[in-house]
Amino acid sequence: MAGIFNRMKRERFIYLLLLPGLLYFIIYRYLPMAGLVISFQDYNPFVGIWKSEWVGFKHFARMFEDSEVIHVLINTLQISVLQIFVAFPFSIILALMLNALRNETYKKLIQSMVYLPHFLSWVVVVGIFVVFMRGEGLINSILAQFGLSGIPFLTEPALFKPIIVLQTIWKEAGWGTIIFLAALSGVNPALYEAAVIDGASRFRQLWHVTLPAIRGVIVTLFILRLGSVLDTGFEHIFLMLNPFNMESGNVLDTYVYYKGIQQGNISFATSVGMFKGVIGLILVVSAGKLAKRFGEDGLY
Amino acid sequence: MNTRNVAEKIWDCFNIAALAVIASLMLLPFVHIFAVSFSSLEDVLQKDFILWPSHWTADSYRVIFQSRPFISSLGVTVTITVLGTLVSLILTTSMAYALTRNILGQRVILLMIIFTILFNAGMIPVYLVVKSTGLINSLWSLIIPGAISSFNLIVIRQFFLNIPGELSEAALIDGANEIRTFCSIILPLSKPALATFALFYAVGYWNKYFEGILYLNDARKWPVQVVLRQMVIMNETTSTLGSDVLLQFENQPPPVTIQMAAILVATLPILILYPFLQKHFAKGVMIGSVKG
Amino acid sequence: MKLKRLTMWVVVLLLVFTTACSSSKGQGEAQGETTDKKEAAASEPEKTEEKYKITGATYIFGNPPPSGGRGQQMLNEKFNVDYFVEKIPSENFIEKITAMVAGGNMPDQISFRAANIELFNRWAKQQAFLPLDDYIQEFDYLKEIPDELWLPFTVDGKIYGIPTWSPVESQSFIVRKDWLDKLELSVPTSYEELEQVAIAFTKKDPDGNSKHDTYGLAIGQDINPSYAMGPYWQNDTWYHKNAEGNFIPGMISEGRKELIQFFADLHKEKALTSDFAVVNWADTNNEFYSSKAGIFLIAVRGMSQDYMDALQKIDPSAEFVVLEPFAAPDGSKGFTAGSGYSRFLTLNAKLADSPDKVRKMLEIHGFSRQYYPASTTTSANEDFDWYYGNEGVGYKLDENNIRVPLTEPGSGTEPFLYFIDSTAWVGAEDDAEFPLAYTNEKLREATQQLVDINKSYKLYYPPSVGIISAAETEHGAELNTYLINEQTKMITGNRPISEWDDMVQEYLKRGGSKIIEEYNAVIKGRGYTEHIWK
Repeated sequence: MAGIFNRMKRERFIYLLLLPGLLYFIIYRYLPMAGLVISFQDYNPFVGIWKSEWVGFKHFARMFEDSEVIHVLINTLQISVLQIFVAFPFSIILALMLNALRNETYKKLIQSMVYLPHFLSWVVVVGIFVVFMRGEGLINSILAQFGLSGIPFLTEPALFKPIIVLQTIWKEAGWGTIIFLAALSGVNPALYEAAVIDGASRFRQLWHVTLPAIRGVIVTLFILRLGSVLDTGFEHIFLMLNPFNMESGNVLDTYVYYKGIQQGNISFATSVGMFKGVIGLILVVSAGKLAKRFGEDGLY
Repeated sequence: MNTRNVAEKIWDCFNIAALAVIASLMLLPFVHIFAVSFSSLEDVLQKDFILWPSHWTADSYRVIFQSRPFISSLGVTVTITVLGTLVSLILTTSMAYALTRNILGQRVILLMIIFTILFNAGMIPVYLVVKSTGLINSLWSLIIPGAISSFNLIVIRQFFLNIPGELSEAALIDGANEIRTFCSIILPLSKPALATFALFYAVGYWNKYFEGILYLNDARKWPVQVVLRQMVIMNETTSTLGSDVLLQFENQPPPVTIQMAAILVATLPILILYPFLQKHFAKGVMIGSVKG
Repeated sequence: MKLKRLTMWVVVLLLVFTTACSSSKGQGEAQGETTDKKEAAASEPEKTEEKYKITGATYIFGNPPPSGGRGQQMLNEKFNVDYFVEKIPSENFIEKITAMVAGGNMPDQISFRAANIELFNRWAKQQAFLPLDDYIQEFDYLKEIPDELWLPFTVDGKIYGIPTWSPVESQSFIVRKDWLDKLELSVPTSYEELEQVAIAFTKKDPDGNSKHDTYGLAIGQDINPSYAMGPYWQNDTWYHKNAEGNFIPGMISEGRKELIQFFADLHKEKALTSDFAVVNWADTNNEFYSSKAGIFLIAVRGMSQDYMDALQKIDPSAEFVVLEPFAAPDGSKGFTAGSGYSRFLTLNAKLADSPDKVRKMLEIHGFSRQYYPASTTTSANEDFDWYYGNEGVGYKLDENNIRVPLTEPGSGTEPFLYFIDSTAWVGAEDDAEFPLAYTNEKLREATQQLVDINKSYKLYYPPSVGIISAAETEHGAELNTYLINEQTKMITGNRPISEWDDMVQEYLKRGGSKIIEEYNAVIKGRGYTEHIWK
């Protein structure tokens, strides 16, 4: 016991730094977590959490009673996997390309341009894409001038997922570079100088100096991204769905919306959130374990 | 050597050109929005996609800037952005640093934080806590309940871990306490990270919308995003199934020209922040900090 | 290792403890507040000139006036109250109201959107609202409301909501008259003729610019607008009956099938908006107002003047004609009546203990519903002058005696801005003066045409008004999406219309038959057997 006490005394300044944040998490993040119990209730705001009717797993059952849900989960995972393995690395590549620029002014200019689309809402972004991709939209009229037949970008089910990923890249890739550029700016220039003296090519410098410097950040972001594997961004997908691509584009978020989440059924919405969280937790914990095996710190 | 130089030159040229193309594609919508906001409605209606106004008019901006709630809400948003970013940065960095030290309960606390990324308590329980901590109808309700982003915390901690441990250990041996070490060694070495997360937080505060509606009862305290959105409310995401046409007409949005002007006005001030922060991204701020 | 486990348990226990503690505290607080209110309310009736504090919440499009403005002070003085209504952005209205209720802060009065009727029903069953039956006899303005409008607000035999006026006049469809004249076509009176017109608009260059840049119907996603020229074809009325004599929703009716066939024919001829399934409502409007499409929707109010002005600048020769209803195969001819209400007001059930405060609230509500027709009202009318913030300060009257505001709502000059509900009640004998809402001459003319059409036909009153069905709450949205999606595919030819019956069977199987059953139980209870036209 004395050991603990001594240790805590030694670390008292660290605890002082920790305390405000810890209090914040307890009060504003963990107290409300008690509210998660409403996913096992028919929540009624008039009687409050403690007196609402308990219904067990009714809301979870509702989510899974439909055979369609398997199909929906597959769509969700497919889009997520594409996002994680295509859109996520794209930010890294873009950051590396920016990092390779030697003219600082040009680099700053490009940086300030690529992060712009992040600030537009999906309504606006999808609106612009529709203008370009409609059956008689700008892209197809250009194709027509070359005598090519038009492509039904918005209604062809097979194109739905690639276009969703393309839009995500377009909107978020530039914003995503910021974190990597910050990490890259920490690289000691002396290391590059040493590499050049050793006669290392640009590619070898990238492999042996640049990437190791940002590996930690990449792994951290990757594991965190796995946690939201069932979140595909409701608004974005919803705006892109139409009767023709429904089979390919209906994901968990839109599925529960059509199931009637918009009727203000708070308990049902909470159950779906719980389900997503549990899946995310499993992935994050296993990815963390895996990262440790490869010598990374992981998240905790 | 020579062939390699040539190859590298070609690669450089390709890189410059490719980035120019990507950047223009990403700039395109802003040019479009800019052009629409300065055009007359009839010009916009007649073309599919304008990139430059054929008849310049600032009428849309006149409508927005004449509105009194708009000007005062801008003040609110600037206040919470400045104040909130400061509060968030202080809380996040101090906690992140403490969690880089191997202290009692470190793992549990980190796990607890990750848990909050995965599980969302939901609107009503949070509302109840905000209410019982007395923040309803106070501007602090836009700052305190979301003061620390768990995501930012975890990533900042990763940045701190990349700083070589010898530096802080040397300071500790010299007799400085942990708080001093944090302020005088760690923070100055983390400028790029601080700039990054200052930007992330500032953008978050600038875009505060739902919290403003939920926690503030007095419309005079609304942040600019709420006021602007009310001016240009767009109904597209609301499904019109059942086609209650009168309901649609109850909310006829203003012309698209005004909507686009509002989007520009709402985002320009925060867009300008990034170029200012860019100088902190200069190379070699941190000395010898490559890990592994 | 043991140590770590120990700390973990300490932290977990601590968490559980604090969670449990503060949650129960929150509960206690909320209850404390309500008892406080009750005590305050109980002491109120004794005093005669009690100054009541009246709280309220409602939704708003646009920005509310600043609290404490000139108009607010005038309101408080006139009625000797402390009156405050929180105006919540419409998009997040329900979330905020729910949070307020959960936090134990339900305001004295809430004015809901018409679309919230299902939530209203749920809350009314939980005794959240004050029954209004006794008060209705006391106030003339409440007695004026026709019986059928109380129906949607009657839950378990008691009335809990007061409807706000909205037109019963139907919308119709507007056609480019100048294009008809150019092509020497007459105004269509049937779907066959409408089809001819739409195709001619597409192929015969009605604007005479020798370009292939015009077409017939402007239509967007969700097959909207519906182009129903009478209840027979309409998707959201219960007009048709099935073999058992039960009413069925328009979406699966024979009339809807005919309409889908009509759209499919036009789609083949490219005479309706291309790619309509991906075009949103705003862009559907643009198709008409940019002078591309020649046929679109018109309602008696709420049309966009900015867009009409733009259309006239694009094509100064634009003229319009409004379509009359088409004769249906069953011989009927006319449109469906609007619901007759837009928003509705509810009072907090806790006000049961303070009837005088309720009377005060209803007095204020009644005042804000007075109707001042432009044709007869002048600034000499005291109530009118006060309500709009006095002539010369809040408004002026133009040469046509129409009120022109002198300040923007953001200044809070006029009292009317601060009431929970500032919509006038336009009685059956009053003229709602729809055309006067616009300054655009063409829009006025078209609106007048539509008003005249509404006057010359009887309106159909559907049997389904105000019915809440549990099955519909659970499956309605999902099923409607299903039907819209399948019908969209039928229009574009991705699914043959010959599979219509399969689609209907699927609908019935997935919960549709339950919805029909529940609706008809209520309809039978109301004694509605034959179509009502008034």
